[in-house]
Amino acid sequence: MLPARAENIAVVRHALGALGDVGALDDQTLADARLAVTEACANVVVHAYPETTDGSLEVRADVDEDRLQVTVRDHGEGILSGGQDAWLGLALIGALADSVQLGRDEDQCTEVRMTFRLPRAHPEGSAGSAA
Amino acid sequence: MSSERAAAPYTNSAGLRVAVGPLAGPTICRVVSMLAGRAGCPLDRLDDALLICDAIIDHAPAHVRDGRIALEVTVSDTSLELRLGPLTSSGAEAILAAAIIPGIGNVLTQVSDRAVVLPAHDGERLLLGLDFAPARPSGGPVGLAR
Repeated sequence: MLPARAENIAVVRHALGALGDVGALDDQTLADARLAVTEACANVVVHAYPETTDGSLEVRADVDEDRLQVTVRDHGEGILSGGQDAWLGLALIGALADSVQLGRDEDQCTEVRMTFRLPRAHPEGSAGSAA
Repeated sequence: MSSERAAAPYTNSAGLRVAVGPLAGPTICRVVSMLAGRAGCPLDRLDDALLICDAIIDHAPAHVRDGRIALEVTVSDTSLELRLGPLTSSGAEAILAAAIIPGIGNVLTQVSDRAVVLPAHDGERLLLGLDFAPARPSGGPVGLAR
């Protein structure tokens, strides 16, 4: 969890690179995931908290043998409040990810859940991280 | 024209929960180095911070409560703080003790400016703080407009 500030999008992107460090993802999937997550985080920064600068950005990544799932959450209005630019971002996410779920969770947080299928099995097993 | 205004102190933070395993090290080191770098942390102190991270990654897994390393990272333009936990009972002391290298001493307490065990109802925390001189004038947040 980080403050929803533009500079922290780069922190999330950099943290996702850890998946490449340990060979959990192939280069193409990692590049797709980074771009899609960047879009989702940018939507949070721009649209989620119009009334405050104190909002939070939550990112959770879970990787197992055949898929990477990344969830970007906010406690504000999220992508649902965005205009056409937000939906363009969502369209890009949809083009990059194998599936996208958009909605509110049980805590009424807005979340974008992106799933990327992995082209091969990897030996690291499951691991999760959140920034 | 001279229109200087006092810049607000720079602060940033991240809360991490990383599964014990191969991803823990790269994830923690990447987030800490990124936040420290953006705060203007000098390179020698960044090295110290990553040394602390290595010690955490080596020793914390035996003392976490739910199979995940929980770490709060807080930076300002003069300090970096790592708050590790919740940990099992006496876990923080054990992590500190594990950082003793014969002939050198305790790496964590020598490298950090503050090493404090913090009791809490849900498991103790280990606070490790580094101080540094501000490297740049504080600036505002990086903008992003669409």
